[in-house]
Amino acid sequence: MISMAIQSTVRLAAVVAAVALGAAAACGGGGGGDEQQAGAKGGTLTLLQTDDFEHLDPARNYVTNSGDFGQRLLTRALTQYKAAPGEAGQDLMPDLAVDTGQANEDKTVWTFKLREGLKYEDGSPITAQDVKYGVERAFSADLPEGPPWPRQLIEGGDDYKGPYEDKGGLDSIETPDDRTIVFNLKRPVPYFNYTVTFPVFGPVPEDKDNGVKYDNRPFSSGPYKIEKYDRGKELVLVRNEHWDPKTDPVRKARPDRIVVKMGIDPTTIDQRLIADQGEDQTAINIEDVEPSSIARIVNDPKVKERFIQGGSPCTRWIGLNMSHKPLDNLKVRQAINYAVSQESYITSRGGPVLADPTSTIMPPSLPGYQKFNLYPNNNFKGDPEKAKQMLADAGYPDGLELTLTSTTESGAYGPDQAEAIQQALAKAGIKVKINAVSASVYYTEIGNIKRQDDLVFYGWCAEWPSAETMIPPTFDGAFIKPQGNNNTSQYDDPEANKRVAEILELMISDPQAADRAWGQLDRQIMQDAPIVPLSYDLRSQLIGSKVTGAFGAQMFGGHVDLATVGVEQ
Amino acid sequence: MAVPVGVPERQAPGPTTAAAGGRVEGRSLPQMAWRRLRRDRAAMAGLGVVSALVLIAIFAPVLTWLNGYSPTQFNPGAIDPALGGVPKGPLGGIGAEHWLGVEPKSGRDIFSRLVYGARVSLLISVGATGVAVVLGTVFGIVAGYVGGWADAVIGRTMDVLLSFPSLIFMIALVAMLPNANRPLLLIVVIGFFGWSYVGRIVRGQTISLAQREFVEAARALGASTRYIVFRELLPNLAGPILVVATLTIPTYIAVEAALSFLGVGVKPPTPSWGQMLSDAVDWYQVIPSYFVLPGLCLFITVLSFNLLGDGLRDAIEPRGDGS
Repeated sequence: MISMAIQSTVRLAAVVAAVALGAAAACGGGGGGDEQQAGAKGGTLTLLQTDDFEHLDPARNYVTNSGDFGQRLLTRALTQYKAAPGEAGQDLMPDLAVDTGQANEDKTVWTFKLREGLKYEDGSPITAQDVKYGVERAFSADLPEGPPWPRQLIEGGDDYKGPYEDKGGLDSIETPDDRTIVFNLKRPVPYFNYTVTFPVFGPVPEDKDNGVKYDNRPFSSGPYKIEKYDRGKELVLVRNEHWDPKTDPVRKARPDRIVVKMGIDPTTIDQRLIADQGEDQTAINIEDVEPSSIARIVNDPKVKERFIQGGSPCTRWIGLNMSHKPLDNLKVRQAINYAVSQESYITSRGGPVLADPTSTIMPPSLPGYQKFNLYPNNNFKGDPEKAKQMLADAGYPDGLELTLTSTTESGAYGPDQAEAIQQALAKAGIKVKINAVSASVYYTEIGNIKRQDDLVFYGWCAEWPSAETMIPPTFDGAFIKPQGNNNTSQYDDPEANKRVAEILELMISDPQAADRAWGQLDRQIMQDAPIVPLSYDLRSQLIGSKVTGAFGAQMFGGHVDLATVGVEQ
Repeated sequence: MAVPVGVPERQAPGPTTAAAGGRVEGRSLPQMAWRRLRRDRAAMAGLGVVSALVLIAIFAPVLTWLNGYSPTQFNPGAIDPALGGVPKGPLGGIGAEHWLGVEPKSGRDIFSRLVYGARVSLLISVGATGVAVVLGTVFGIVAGYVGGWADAVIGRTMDVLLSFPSLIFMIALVAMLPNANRPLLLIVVIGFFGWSYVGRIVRGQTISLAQREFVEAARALGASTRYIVFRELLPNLAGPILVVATLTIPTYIAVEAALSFLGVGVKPPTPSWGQMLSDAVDWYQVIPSYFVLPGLCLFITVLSFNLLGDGLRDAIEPRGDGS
């Protein structure tokens, strides 16, 4: 599933605190922390965006910025991540449920009890049956692109076709009464209470469900409701009067109105926020600033104060296609690891403000992370001499030629990034041919194991704070599939595969030991050098001078947490 | 159709009236044109710049050897990663080390890239013009001289090509053949979509020439079609073709730049002016020089070719003689 690749989803918690440049640290924004935490209500917050949200339909909402917007403002779920900067942002909180869920002994049956007094935007009550219906919708072929978890984890998920085709519903989701919902799972899932933070585990009333069109107007259970949604242009939220703050421990709902303006060029957004005039003073951009704007931001202390950084603990890498010669040769893969300059890759994306170099699969924020660098290359600058020597040892003293897939559009895998890799490998005698494809078909192209090039850019984010959602999908040999493949190295090592199964087993009995074991497995896999780790991303956003309480939410890829942000009037 | 039987081709080149007349006037025709051209200051300026450009393109390796930076070499020392990769120093890093500054994010030397970019621009535009001129001349003469169904078929084909949204088609084609030899593909594709402009002019000139006395006379004397085409028509078409070719080159330079700008031109890391412009769009506020330099190169080149072409037209077809 494309959405799981880094471009889209970022759900991850972090040990690394949200780093804020300068004085505007964790509590963010134009001024002090505490009174803003208390926060004045009222005013209009504006979001400036280039693109529309991918999906706000809870069954399909699976991308970080849409998740931030949908989960924090419109659709509540059974549990939710705490709205707090840094490490605290990975703490699990009850949302619709009274607690964070009760599991049976072997973690195969999870029960959630709903709060009393929960209401939709029309004042009607939210029931456990509505949550069940919301989950069942995700099985419908009409509503693709949501998280794969309902299908992968819930018993009977393989055959169920969704409520439109199968009116009977999914028996493995039980609702003994209006306020209780029970999930019967295929296998033990110790982290299932984290899984239910996704908006697909939120309520959808059956009589309001209009299929594909629900995306344009999800029926709100959160603090705001949609007043107007002109796709690609403007989205206006107003308060949902029936939302009761006493039933919601997470959301602060400070502004009276939230207006999203879309279709604005990214550099124009940066210019407006740097200029900070009029209504832009209460505006934010939850996407990264452009590399060309960084100098103007960092050089002006007044603008720098309004620069918010959030950790997005995802890893980007180059997959080395091991099904191709000579990449089946360990020494060649190791040589490439030495040759690549993470620094020049990161510079091509905008520099250290936007990403940190890395040498591991797991991002530092995952529990069990081990810091190591098996292929030290002059502090991420690349070591072409060492690489040449390794290539000569491997029987390629005259270098070799490889193809790298990139996107034609600029971005994390664009032409500039491809050239940075090309240039670094050229120094080691490796000639790289760039195969640029349109971003819209990029994942289709590299996910086809027959057509996949030698080198491909890729990345992954863990979906909750466990490497369980990171290492198996991208390095377990069992996950290699002919199309839509995520194991970008086509790495199929019997020992690693066995270890994955063992650790998944260990997670049930001893989660802490399992976390440590993931960290060790990371090192074990990197000894085979199936990938070249490149970076983990930091999200860098600008906010207007009258925006308060803004910080990057780790669980939403570092986007400004919309649950708590407010505006001065 | 007009080839009389029994007149061996070899005997044909006897001095016909036209050829004899041509000897008196024709020998001085290029000279007269050159004299007229030399009096045209704008055209001579254009010629000067074009010649300089050709020299720059040919000696690109020597020029980059002089400044010491290959066009593809990253220079991390010349940029500041902490500021998003902006060049160190004022004016985009312009100075003794990097004469025209460096590119942001990669630190590649802009002078070296511009010099090599001239190669790409000229190679592709001249190559494509060659393709267009050859195709246009062949089909133009056939349509104009043979006439009839040949003229109808070729005429309609040219209409189709002229009304075709060629840029969109080129983008699609280049995108569909990602592994092809890019410069060659660009030359063939641009030339293929452009020959109808040359073809129309050649066809019109051929029709008017074919009715002139010297051609009629040659035909009456039994000259072969081949003789008429190569000895009577082509020499007289050379002038208009030269003019059209000179005016086509700048158009194709712009087309190549446009394709590169849209990301379907030559493949990176080969430098191209259009590509540099496209990269520079985001940076125009921070480093105006990065945006201005390739734009200036493109502007001067296109302008010079146009001035030269206009001058050539005036020189070869003095007023009153043009269509």
